[in-house]
Amino acid sequence: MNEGIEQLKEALSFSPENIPLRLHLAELMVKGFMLDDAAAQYQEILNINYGNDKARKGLANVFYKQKKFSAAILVYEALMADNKIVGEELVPFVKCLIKENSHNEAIEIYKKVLQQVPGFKDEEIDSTLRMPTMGNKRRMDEDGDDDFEDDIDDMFGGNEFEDGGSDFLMEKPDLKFEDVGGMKKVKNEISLKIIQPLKNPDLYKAFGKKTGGGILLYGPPGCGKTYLAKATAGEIDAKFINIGLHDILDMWMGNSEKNLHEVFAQARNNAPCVLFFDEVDAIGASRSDLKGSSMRHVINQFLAEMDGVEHSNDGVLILAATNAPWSVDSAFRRPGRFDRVVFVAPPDTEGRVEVLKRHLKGKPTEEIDLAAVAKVTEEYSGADLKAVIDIATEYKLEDSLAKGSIEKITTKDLIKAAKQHKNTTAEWFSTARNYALYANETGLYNDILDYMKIKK
Amino acid sequence: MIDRDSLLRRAEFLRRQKRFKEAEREVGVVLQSDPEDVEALIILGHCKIDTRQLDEAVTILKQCLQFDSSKDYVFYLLAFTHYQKNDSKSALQYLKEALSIFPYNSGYFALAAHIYLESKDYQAALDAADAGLAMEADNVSCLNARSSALFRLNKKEEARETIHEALAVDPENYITHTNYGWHHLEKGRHKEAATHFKEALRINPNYAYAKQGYKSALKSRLIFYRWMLQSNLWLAQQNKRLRLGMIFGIWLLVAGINTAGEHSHLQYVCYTVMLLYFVVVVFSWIGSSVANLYLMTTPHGRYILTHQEKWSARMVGALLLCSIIAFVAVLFINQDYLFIPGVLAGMSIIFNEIDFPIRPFQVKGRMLFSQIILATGILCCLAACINFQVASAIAMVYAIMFVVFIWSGSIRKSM
Repeated sequence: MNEGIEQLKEALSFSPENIPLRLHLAELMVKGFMLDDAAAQYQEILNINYGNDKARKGLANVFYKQKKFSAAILVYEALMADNKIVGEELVPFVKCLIKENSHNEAIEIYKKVLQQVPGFKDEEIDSTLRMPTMGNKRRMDEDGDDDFEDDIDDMFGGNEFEDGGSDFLMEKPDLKFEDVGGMKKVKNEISLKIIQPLKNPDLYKAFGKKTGGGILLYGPPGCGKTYLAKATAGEIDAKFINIGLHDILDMWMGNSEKNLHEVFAQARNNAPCVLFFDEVDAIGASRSDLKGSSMRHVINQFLAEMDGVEHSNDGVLILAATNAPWSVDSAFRRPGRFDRVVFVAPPDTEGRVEVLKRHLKGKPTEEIDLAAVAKVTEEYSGADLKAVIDIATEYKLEDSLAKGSIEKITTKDLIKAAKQHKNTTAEWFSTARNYALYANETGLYNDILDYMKIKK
Repeated sequence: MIDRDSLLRRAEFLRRQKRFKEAEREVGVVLQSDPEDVEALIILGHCKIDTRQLDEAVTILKQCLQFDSSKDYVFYLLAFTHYQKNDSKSALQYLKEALSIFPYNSGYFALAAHIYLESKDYQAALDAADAGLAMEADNVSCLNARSSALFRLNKKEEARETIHEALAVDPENYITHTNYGWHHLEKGRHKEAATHFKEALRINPNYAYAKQGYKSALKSRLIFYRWMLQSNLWLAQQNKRLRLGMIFGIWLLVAGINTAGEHSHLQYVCYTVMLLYFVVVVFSWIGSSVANLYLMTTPHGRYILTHQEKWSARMVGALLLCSIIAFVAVLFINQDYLFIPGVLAGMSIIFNEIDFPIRPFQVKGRMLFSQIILATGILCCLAACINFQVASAIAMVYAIMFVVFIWSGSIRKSM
């Protein structure tokens, strides 16, 4: 090999500008573990042709091998910014980040690798980044792509991860209430029930008002219930544990009581902490639906944990969300449990403007009359609005490809897209309306009646 | 390695929680590795039944049979799917297969009883329900079928006992409540009916059959509607031949009386009979819409009506009003135009049948026919402003089409 290197060096001395030749030389040097020399060659190439991708990748790789992690990271970041690096090439980058203890970034990048190379496995990375969740790791292999992000979220703990046997995903959201457009009433309600008691504990004590208990958020899908829960955690600067449908399922299937206890234990250990149960109806399916099944155990366990019978739930705020409040057992709504049931309606006009603005950010647009778009998207959920923008973007992409120049999104496009994408909340409301009309003995669904402007 | 059993358990759990999309996804994973996994296919088929994609369900379940024809449950599901598709014959065949493999499931007998009820074989329904109850004495579905069969067989006391039994087993069974409600309606006790329908809707607000019953119960406050409903419900229990016979028989009878008494001193009696018959026929068509018009004035009724029903009621009401005004006007101005109120009144009957929102001439079959008649009616009214001859000629065409429409409609309804 050394011979080959010598020959190449000689050849290069005659044509120093020959980049492919120099690249070849550098590669040979890497193979021969002449890392310093290889680095010099790559630098040389970059001097001649600044921004040569192969040279940059090679250089980063050499830095990685030389354990100059921070230098490698710099090069990788530049490559990332130019979108020049994909798939498995990113793996050394992840490893560098791990070595530099930047776990958060490492997770971000690793997610990308997994997205681009499904089924990718690396013992070293996995052992550092992956936290065992209650579910096993099987999800990776089976779930469809659409759920991918959620699952990844489930699988990793954030940088706030603390020791103590806790193995649920936990994060510390930066979201604040201001980031949530509209929803004044809901925010107010959460603030009274959750935030104020934390900020003014004495006041609440003076009135003899017990703090604690939880809030059950309900409403049509895609209207930001999860987002709101996260913002609540951000608002009080608390940690956030998100228990989704899959975790709940695993509770049913596995040794459920123990798992459920662990969730609460982890939340208590990490107080202040917001414990959020998404699709809680999967746990709290009403008794008549579960007749004769063993699932009563889990419900009872859940209620006992919520009541804080054995351990105090101080500093643990329990939020839950559901699309089907009618199938949540009424035992969940007793005082001290989810005694506040809050309707999260589709965003109002103001909220829609806000959502549209957020999703349009960074896209080529003309001056857009957001109010006009908001007007034609009555009852659209946040997810629907995103779909509308996606459709409009697709139109324009097609146009741009046909014309060869960037066509900007206009108000008209958005309105046209809104006509094409009907709101998905309609189906939910047609079910909810029946419950509000015929099964509303306790006035639980009065908010729905108000929202739908039904007077009885 | 994919853990098939736990995936299927999850899928079944999700299905029971009505999260069909997620359930189908779990099943999909199993089917990806083994497309012939019968248990997975069964769950998938079950999801399709629950989401009312019945044709897909049949395809999937038949596929199951190809791989394994010893599963009684597959036959049962197939029978159930065909029952949902109103194909009682195939449903019974599949059910027999299921029962020949495993004759000890009371649920199978409950389905058999319901199929027999549907095909109006009440004695067989009763026997099947009893057979099911012999296996499981508190199977509510069997009890429901039994009470319905007993009512039809006119054993009212036993029927009522069975209903009480069913409610004792499960007081929160919306189907029992709904059945009870319909039974009350049949007997004209609309207040009791309304309480039971209300209860059924409280438990399951999305149960269409209970909703329909509640609507009828509310409308039954109007006496003419109550009679109409009772006679309709009675007719619905009779077999096809009798129903057709009734319609033609009464018409022939009335026509006969009319011709017989035409020139006698009983002429006025004949006219009265004719008029009564006419009123009854008209009300059998638009009675429901007129009652809906009344419902729209009550707070409860307003919300229970569908978009379609509301618009039908409005149009029928408006046209009837126009017809009366036209009648009065014509009487005073020019009696030659008496056909105009008739045309208008006829249009109200047709509006009762038409789908809203109206998409002019973009529909097929009977809907298109009704739209053509309506257009002719409007044309006739417009022509009446210009030329009497033309208008009466159009009215003639209109009348012919109208008669065809009414008779074909009557026959269709009783089939």
